[in-house]
Amino acid sequence: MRKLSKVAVWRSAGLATLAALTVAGIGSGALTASASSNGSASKIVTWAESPNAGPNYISPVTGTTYFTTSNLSQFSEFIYRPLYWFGDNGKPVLNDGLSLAAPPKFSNNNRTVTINLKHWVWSNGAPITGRDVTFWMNVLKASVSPAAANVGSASAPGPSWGAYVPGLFPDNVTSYSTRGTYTVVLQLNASYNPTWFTYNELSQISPIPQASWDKTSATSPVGNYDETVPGTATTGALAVSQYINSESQNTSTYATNPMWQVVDGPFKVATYNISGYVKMVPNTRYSGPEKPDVKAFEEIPFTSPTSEFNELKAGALDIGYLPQEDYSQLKELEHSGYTANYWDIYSTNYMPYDFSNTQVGPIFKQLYVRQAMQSLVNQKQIIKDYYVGGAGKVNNGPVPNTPGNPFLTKLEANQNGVYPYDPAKAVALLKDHGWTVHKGGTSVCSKAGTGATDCGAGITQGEKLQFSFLYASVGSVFTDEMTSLVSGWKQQAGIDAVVKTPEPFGDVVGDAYTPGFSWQLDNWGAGWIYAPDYLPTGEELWQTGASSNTGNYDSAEANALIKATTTAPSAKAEITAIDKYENYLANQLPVLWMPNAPQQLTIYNKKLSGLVPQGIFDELYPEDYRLS
Amino acid sequence: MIGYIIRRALQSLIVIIGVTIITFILLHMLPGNPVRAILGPKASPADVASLTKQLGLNKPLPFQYLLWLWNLAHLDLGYSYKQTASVDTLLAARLPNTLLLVGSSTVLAILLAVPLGVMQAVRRNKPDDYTLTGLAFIFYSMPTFWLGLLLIILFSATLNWFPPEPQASLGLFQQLNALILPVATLTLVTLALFSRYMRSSMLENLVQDYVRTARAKGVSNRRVLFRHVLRNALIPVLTLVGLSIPGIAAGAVVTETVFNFPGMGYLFFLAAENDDFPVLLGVTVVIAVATVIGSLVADILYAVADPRIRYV
Repeated sequence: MRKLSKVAVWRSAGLATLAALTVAGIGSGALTASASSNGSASKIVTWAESPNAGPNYISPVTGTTYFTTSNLSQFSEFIYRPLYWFGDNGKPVLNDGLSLAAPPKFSNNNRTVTINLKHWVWSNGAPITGRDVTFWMNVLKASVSPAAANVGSASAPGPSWGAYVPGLFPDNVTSYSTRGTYTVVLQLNASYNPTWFTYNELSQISPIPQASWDKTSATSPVGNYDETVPGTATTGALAVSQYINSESQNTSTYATNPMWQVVDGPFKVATYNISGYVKMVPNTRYSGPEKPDVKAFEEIPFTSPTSEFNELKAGALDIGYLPQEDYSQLKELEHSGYTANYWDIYSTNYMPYDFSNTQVGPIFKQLYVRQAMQSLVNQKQIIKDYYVGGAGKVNNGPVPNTPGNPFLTKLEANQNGVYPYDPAKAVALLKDHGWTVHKGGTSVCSKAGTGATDCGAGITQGEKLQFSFLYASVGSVFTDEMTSLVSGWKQQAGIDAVVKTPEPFGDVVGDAYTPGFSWQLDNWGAGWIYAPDYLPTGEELWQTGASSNTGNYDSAEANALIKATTTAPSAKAEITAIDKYENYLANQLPVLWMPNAPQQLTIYNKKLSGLVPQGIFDELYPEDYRLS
Repeated sequence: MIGYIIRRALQSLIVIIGVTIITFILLHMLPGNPVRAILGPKASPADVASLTKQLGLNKPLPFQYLLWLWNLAHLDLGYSYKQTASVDTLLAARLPNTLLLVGSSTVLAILLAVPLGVMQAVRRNKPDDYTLTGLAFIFYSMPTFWLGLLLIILFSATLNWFPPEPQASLGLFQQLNALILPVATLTLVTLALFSRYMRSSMLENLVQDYVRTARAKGVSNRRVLFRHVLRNALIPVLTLVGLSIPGIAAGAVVTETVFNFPGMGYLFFLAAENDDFPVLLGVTVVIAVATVIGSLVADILYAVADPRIRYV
């Protein structure tokens, strides 16, 4: 998952709440065209970045620090195309047309993968070859090797790979080689399901120009240094990786360094400044099916949703977003030459429990407790009260329910909820398992033990149903939502969530991922986006010991079901395996499922075409934009 | 006077070091892990341990501070991983913007406050004095963001006279009209304060014996006001000017946020949100230096304005 560099829904600043009152009823501003000439090719399209989410890393070999959507799907992927592109007209599927290679062929009991590149070219005219793919593989292997941890300094972090999961890609590739100019063959360490391996493993490959980047320093000649894997800080693939990494951290040179002028994507950087402003111009040698037809694409930085909204009101942006608190201004914007479209992202929203917490872990491990808490989440009301324009969907499990996709079971798609809002049921569940429910207070365990009507293993007599709750300080609307939720738990079933002082989004996420950090229930407000693990299987999220299994959920049955999704022998078996896995998690509640909301309400110039449907993996398609 | 300045400079150094020590300790007491903030949530424990060691964060706190101080002495303020730039690069990019925004609004406020204060003192309790007093209280009590938004609504969204904020693609000097609204916002609030001080100071001096004596000697009213009273009345305002200098360096985070202005205030706010310790410390040093300079400037101006004051 790319770290969510912007909050999915809550784009409000507390200060801006009053602005809504003063902004109501003002005159409409005229939408100014970016340029007055006829034809899209003479126009510049401007796009609003989320606050503080400007790109700051250009290489596709992106380390953990920089592994964000603002760097990848909203920046470097226009410049360096991944080998396989996912997202086709709003569907979460492989996009053959935008991929650099034909769909991979699996053989030898799914242990051999053959990749045949299309004959596309870099912007300097050189062909994109298999050597560029193996170059990527070598650099990646070096970046995730133990030696990489010792590269870097107080001035700059060393190379790493943000999507790395030990044991998975590239560890599960035992060898790779080119066969001819345009073919690469990978040998795998086991038999994997082809869909899973394509969507979640091969998806991570981005060919990089070996003939330009295979250097150990800015002054060294190009060579085949990458073929020594992993190498050291000064030799071999690791040195090459560190060279690419250090150049990537030199943001002031993005527009001038010749290294970044060799691209295979539809755009390249023309201007970049430290505030996060980027101007990209078309790569005239782009081989893809849709060529850019604008003069330039600009990403505009903003300090707050308020300042972004002011630009919309002034008609100075082609693509922006409507902050939650300014929703009442939608009609005004539509009169000013804008139109709106919800940006749905292929993601699942949830709050993790910490099952390993010594104090409350035993409580959370009881399924009936999780069922009670889920039954107290009124997802439909939350959507109505707190989501922009009341847009959102009831979320029941790990597979996103927007947009529709072949992996969504009827159980998960049920908009009444697998556990519908039912406070009476929640109370009954607790009472039936030995709790004395104190509505408005704190329920206590009155019947310790492991019997069917007892509180459960590890819960002592008199123990309170109380835990700490940490959520992210991402805006007043989100705070209101959490406050209402906590109040409901307490008032209706005596489930006492003690709220800790909200922390910044990054801190809450970091706390959840820090081994040994004491937290109990955590909500960073946005769940998980399935990218670059495009197939919604759970090996990163809920497998025991998985890197993003922040709550340490541990279920042998879930592990077996997840494993089945990675090794299913055919596409049909894969769908069956995913169905079983998702239904299990929908019922077992490894986390507290929260409603899925659109990423934002995008506001865009009526004269702009090519924006809709918006990228469901949070990606942009500026090469499709046309301004009349 | 030179000796006084040198002594003050040495005292200032001690003050600055004291401020940095307190800031350093407070930062490390905050919740959150700066290494996790840098590497992101998916970093392995090995990555976290490695970067912690590289950054020296596993060393005792006094050692970390002394290392930072040593680097500071060599003009190395450190590196911001979150913004992928050295701290001095970030400061060099933001400080001029802030000096332009807050500096120009402060200067404008002073230039307008002095004549306004004089006028109000001379015409005290007349309708124009009441009007200006009322306006001063309105602007002084108005939150900056509110005033900024009102100006945007009126002059940008409705009248289309000025852009609501500067364009990120251009330098500030290439789009001076984009500075008008943010500068006006800060000026109005600062002017309200300064004009009240000026009026009050003028009124205090107008009733002094030396004024009565000058008038008795036949000095014209104009000469009394501008040759005698004004100079004495300026003394507290000069103190205000000196105390405003730290604010000029620190920026105005609310105004910068409303107007999408890339200044020091917003840089500090962003660094605080991201546990970006090097930037927080760097900005603190800048503000501390500006504070001691401002205090010294205030004292020197005081001595210039009042010949009875001599520093030795």
